[in-house]
Order: sequence, then C-alpha cells, then structure tokens
Amino acid sequence: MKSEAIKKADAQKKNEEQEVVGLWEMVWANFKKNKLAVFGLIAISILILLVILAPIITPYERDAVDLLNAEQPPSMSHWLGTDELGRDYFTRILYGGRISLKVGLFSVGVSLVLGILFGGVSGFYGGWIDNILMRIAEIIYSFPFLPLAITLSAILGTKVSTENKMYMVMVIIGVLRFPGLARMIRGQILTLREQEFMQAATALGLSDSRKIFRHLIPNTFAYIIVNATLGVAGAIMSESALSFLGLGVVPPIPTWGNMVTYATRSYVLKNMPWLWIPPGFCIFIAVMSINLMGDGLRDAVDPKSNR
Amino acid sequence: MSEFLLDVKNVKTHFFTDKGVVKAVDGVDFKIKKGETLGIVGESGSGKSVTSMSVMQLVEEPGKTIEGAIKFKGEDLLQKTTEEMQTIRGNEISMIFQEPMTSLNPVFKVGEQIMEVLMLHQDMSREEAKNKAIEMLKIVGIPRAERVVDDYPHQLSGGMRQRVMIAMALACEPSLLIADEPTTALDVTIQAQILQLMNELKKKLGTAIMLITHDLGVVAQMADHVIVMYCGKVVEDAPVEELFENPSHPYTKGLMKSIPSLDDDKRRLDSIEGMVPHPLRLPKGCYFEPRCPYAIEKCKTHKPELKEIASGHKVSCFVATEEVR
Repeated sequence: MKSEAIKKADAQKKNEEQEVVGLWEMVWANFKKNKLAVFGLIAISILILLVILAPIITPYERDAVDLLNAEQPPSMSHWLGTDELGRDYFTRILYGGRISLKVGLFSVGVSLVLGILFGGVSGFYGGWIDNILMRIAEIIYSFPFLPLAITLSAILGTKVSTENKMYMVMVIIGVLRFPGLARMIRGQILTLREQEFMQAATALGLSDSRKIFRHLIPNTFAYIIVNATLGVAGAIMSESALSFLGLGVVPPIPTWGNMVTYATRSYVLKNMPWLWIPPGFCIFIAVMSINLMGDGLRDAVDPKSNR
Repeated sequence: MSEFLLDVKNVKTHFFTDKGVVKAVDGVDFKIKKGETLGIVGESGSGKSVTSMSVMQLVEEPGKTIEGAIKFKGEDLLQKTTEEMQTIRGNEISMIFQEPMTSLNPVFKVGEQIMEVLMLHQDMSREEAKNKAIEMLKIVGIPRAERVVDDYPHQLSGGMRQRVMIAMALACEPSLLIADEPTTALDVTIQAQILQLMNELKKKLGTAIMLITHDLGVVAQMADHVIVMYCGKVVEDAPVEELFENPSHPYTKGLMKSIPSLDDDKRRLDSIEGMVPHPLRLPKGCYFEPRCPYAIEKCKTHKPELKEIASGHKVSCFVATEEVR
C-alpha cells in the first residue's frame, strides 16, 4: 500500500517536471501510460520496418513468376506459399504492405492539405467565405463514401495506367475524407481567433495568411495529428475495400486489399487459406494498431482526460 | 513635417450596431511629441481603448473610423491600405496589451515570437534575429535571456510575459508605443517594475508612449501630458503637473478625489455619483451633467467645447471656463 502511494507521488512528481518541458513531452508522458496505445505503436512500427526492409528480408522479386512452383502451400523456401503464378506470397505481402501503407499516408496527406486550407480559411474569415467553403465540404461529406468512390474510380480508372491508378485511388480517398478534418479545424480556429494573442499578432503587423498558417494552425496540431492517425487506418480500410472490389489498385501491383480478393474464389477459400488469411491478418493488425495508437494519442492530447 | 509625431484630429469611431450607432470615440483631438508620454485616462467605456485601436486601425466590424485624421510622421494613417498598415504595425507603432497571460501564442517559444517580428519588418536572418531577441530580453531585464528565448509562454510568470511583450513591441525600435492598460493584470510590485522599465526604455530608445489607463497613480508616474476622456470625448487636456495641481473639469476632480489618501481618516472612499450613461442614451447637453455636482441650467441643453484656460490646459466645461458668469 505504502509503496504504491510513494510510486504514485513519484509518478506525479515526474509528471509535473515534464509539464514544464512542453506540450509534446506531456503528450508523450500521457501516451506512455496507455499500454494498449504503446502496443499499437510497437506493432505498427514493426510492420513498417518489415515493409521497408522487404528487399533485405526476402530473396524473391515481387513479380517473379515461377509456374513450376505455382500454388504451393507454405514451406521453408516459400514461408507463405505461392500464388497461382508461383510468385512468393510472403514477398508479395511485404510489397503489398508498402502500397497499402503508402495509400494510407498519401491520402491522409491529401486530406490534410485540403482540410487545413478549407478549415483554416473558413474559420479565420467566417461570413460568406466560411459559408461557401463549408457548404462545398458538406456536399462532399454528405455523399455515401463507398458508392461515390466506386463510381469515381470506375469512371476515371479506365483512362489511366495501373501505376497511375494507384495514385488516383489515393487522391479519391483523400478528397472524400477531407471534410471531417476541415470541420474540426474550422471549429478550433473559430475559438482560437478570438484569443488575445491573435489581436497581438495583428498589432505586430502580420498578414492574414501568416496569422492563419503560422499562428492558428500550429495551435491545432495536436488535434490534427490525432485525426490524421485515425485517418490512416480508415484510408487503408477504404483502399482495401476498393481494391477488393477490383476498383482500387489492380494486379500485378499487390496490395493487401486486392490480395484478399482470393477469398472470393470458393476453391481458394476452401483449399488454400495461405492466400487470403495473411493479407487479411495484415490489414487487421495495421488498422487495429493504428487505431489503438490514435485513441491513445487522443487521450494524451485532450487535457480533460488528464487523470 | 510637424513637430508632432502623432497628431490626432477630430477622430470619430462609431459602432454601427443593430440597436443604433454607438459613438465610442466622438471627435477626439490630441498630439504626441517625439519621445513624450501621453496618458489617456477615463472610466471603462469612455473610449480610451477604441482611441488606441483607431490609431492602429484595428477597429473591427461593426466599428469604423468615419471622420478625422490621424497624422503619424505627417502621413494620415486613415488613408493607408491594409498592406501599408501592416508594415507600420509592430514596426513603427507597436502595442502592448492588458493581458500578458494570453497575448503570447502558447505553441511558440517566446524567442521565436520576437524573432518573427524582426524577420518580418527588418529583413533579418534567423541568426541576427535570435541575437537581437536575446538582446531585447536582456534590455527588458529578463535574467538568463539565453535560456528564456527557448521557453514557452506557459513557463513564464505574468510579469515575465509582460516583459516579453514589451521586448517584442520594442524589438523594431518603434517611434510610438501604445500601451493599453499594461499593468492592470499584474500585481503591485511587478506593476511598479514594469512602469519603471517603460520609463527607462523611453529614455534609452526615445520612444513616445501612448499610455491608456484608469489609474491616476500610473499617470502621475509616467505621463508628460494627460487627456481625460468621458463618453468618447476629451473633457480635459493638460500637462501632468497642471492637471494634478489644478484639475478643472468636475469629472477630473471626481477622479482625483476618489484616490485613497494616507493622510485622512475617512472610512469611505469618495466616488463619483451615478453611472456612465448608456452609450445609446446620452444626455442632450454635457454628457457629464447628470453626475455633475456643479451643473447649471445651461449644461442640460448645451454641449461645452474644449477651451484653453491656462497655457496648454484645455477643458470642456461651462463652469470651469466661467462662460456663464
């Protein structure tokens, strides 16, 4: 009992010391307390590391066809077996992860740029500018995501090469996801712009764009980072869904999403579980760990959740 | 160029609200010489803050400066574009605010905030700006300035933050500093330190100060010249010694009386009877008439004008200017 009390006091003391250091140190201190979130961080870090180090980890080429060894079950030489063209499945999982994570990050990047621009400008100026920008955002927001994404990629997808289709999917996901972020940023800016330091900034002769992007947006970084983290998980899911339906990234470029497609063939579903369990498992691990991390971050950033 | 740094002539800043026009500043005149301190005194709502905002052109909708001229170094600020004003704000005229606790951006190091102004207005490189920021922090009397530049605002006390604000305001060596109740939010000892600091800096850098306050003690300590405002108008305008020796407007007299004194044993503090009139229901005659102990019939129907009663001492009151006798 007693030792616990002392520990608590120590922890508090430590916490207080860290509070003097700065916002991010405080966030990190709170984040560390959340075991699940730390687990998520570690899991996603391992995944990212594996994916980046793919050429070192596996001796096979991503698209190297070996028809003599097609549809092999997992073995010592092919850890996760081979697919119908004899390509090493473990290799494709790793490279597929590259694409999936890239899509997640890139599309969040697109929504960040749009969200910051829309949210920052409409929150700062208010009035009719706010009205127009937010109505545009709301129109996009009100469309059901999947049908619109499917339609868009079906219309646009026919005209582009496989490689470019990947980037197209990133942009579609990013654009469709930005309104949520824009609204959140706008809400933050609305309260921040009335603060005295903004009046002081005006009195120092700063221009509007400088006030928005140098002074207001950094004040919302904590929220943006949480939103973006959770957004990466969502984008990976969206990409998987689109690719699963054959409207996202298409073979031969592997992604976890289009690899799960094997499960639609009943023969594969029954007899070759190594072809659909691993990519599904990877999506599950990636999305779950990012979400756990995001939740932890949110609690760490929110001052009210400070226990 | 005239001998005055700032020459404010008949400025009217009105707020066009749904309920009517609020004449927050209604024909104010004053002048500030280079290196001089002008004190602007008045109750809450007397228009002193709006006057300073008008000079900075920071009055926000629905407010607008509709008349007059604000000549700064001979040029009318009211004719300047937004971009031109941006090069003047923080550079030639800067401002410090009442609330040091919230006037600094919480997510930037204080050094960064001082450097930003320098890089913006003086085209300094980061390196130069950082050195200048440290120098400014030293000038405003912050110990361990090299460490404090890398501190965030929340790590500093209120007095320290106000010093940082002053350092930021003076970084570009402006010729006019507008201080809007700079010490109201600080405790008395810090208040004295900050005022002393401002006085020292004024001498060192030759900056003119426009000091807005409701504290006559602060005015006595700081100002060379004082204007007293009531309901958006200047009611008395005098050099500081003259004002304290010979207060002429009944409102100024009332303000003087309401300063607690150590010498007498009164149990209650003197105060001016009544309230500031509602800005939309101002009296027809002199705005101070309903509260004025000396009021005569003429005060109810006629508005007094500023008249000189001694050298440099102007007052707007029928009784004080003896027009009626």
